[in-house]
Amino acid sequence: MNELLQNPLIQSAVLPFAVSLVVAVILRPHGWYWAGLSAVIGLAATVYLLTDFKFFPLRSHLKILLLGGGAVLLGILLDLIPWRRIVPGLLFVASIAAAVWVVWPRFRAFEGWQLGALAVAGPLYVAWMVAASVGLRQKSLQADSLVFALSLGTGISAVLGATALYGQLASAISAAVGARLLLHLIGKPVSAGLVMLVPLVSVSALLGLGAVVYAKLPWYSLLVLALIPMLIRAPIPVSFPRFAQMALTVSLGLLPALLAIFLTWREAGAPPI
Amino acid sequence: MRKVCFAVAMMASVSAHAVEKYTIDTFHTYPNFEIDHLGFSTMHGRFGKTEGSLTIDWAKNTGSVDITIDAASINTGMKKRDDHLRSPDFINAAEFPEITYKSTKVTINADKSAKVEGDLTIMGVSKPVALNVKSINCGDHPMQKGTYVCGFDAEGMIKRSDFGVTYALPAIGDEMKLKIEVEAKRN
Repeated sequence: MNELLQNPLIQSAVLPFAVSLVVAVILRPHGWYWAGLSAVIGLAATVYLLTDFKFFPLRSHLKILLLGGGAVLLGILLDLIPWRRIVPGLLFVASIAAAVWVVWPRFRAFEGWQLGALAVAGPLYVAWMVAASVGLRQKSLQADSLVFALSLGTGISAVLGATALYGQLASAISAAVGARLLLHLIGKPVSAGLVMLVPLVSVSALLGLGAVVYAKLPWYSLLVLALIPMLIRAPIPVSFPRFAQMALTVSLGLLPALLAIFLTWREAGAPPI
Repeated sequence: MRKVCFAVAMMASVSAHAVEKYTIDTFHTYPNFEIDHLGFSTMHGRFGKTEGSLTIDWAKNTGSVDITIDAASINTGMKKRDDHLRSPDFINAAEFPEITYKSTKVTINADKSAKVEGDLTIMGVSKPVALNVKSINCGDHPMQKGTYVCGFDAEGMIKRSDFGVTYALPAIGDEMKLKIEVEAKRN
């Protein structure tokens, strides 16, 4: 059993998918955004296997996971209180602070424009992804498609960019959200809410930024991934069959994700196994 | 009275010279490691950039070692693998640029072998690691007049999981042999 649980495929694909699916089925009838927690719990299963929930001494990926934990609480709180127009702005600022905290150890290594890029462009990427996803909190298909495409693009790019650890974490998110997409496909859509979007989008975006800063993921791959929230909003005729709606929405998100993977592969080649 | 003063002066002189201070020769000091690869073979690698200092107290048969290794200087002869080893999967060199070893106790034996006990710090985690030194060899440098050099080969075992380096366990070995070839010039 232990050997099985040490298999990266089980850790980052099978387990989060299965956990997310079971939890989504259980929580789906309970209303509100409870089912939004399904993918979060799916990711948590992978995090448990990879870290034993030991977060100290702090390292960049552990910082990201801790921030993700905080983001779950924030997401629940924001879903519980009445909607305020200031929320996207607050999340934007909070995301910038979170991203700066994650890349802070690299500040002393850079100067000039590189320092500027690290201090401004990286946090802006994370903040953009989080703030741009907020509007999809009540559109579960688009929300799931966004998280699926972003985490899949980030995960495979990170593996190619020489960090399997970041890749595994991001892939676990895509597997967990993949389970929710499966439920969409069979006509049992599950709600998303900020309880899912804030933690999973922020963790995916921070993993992408971390893979640029601490490994070899090319920065322009993030630039391409940043297109996902815009493309996912393209209007899909409601007259389309459910399967077609889903396939189109997911495909729109996957376009930049696949391009990012291709660009990373062209730069880095196959992973060093 | 004159004899007493002479004796005191001699003792002071001996004591002043007993502790010799050395600066590590970065061109001849390389930490190496060996690790099992998937049970097929033993991979070798080394760190190319190391600095530090050491002291030797021949009178008390002890000393100290303080070494700082540039984590990013890891080299296994393949750039892509080295990039991966520098990543958060392994030693996370961007976030933790230094690996350090500071001795806590050094015992020099009569045959000039020695045992060094100290703390190895990798990615912010410090663990006690003992290194065995076969022989401390000292003498005048044959090509640098006036330079006195001591050198030795130190060897020990570590478990990478102790330092939180758990990627690809157990396929890639947990136990690693650590060897440090050191040359240092007397200050």
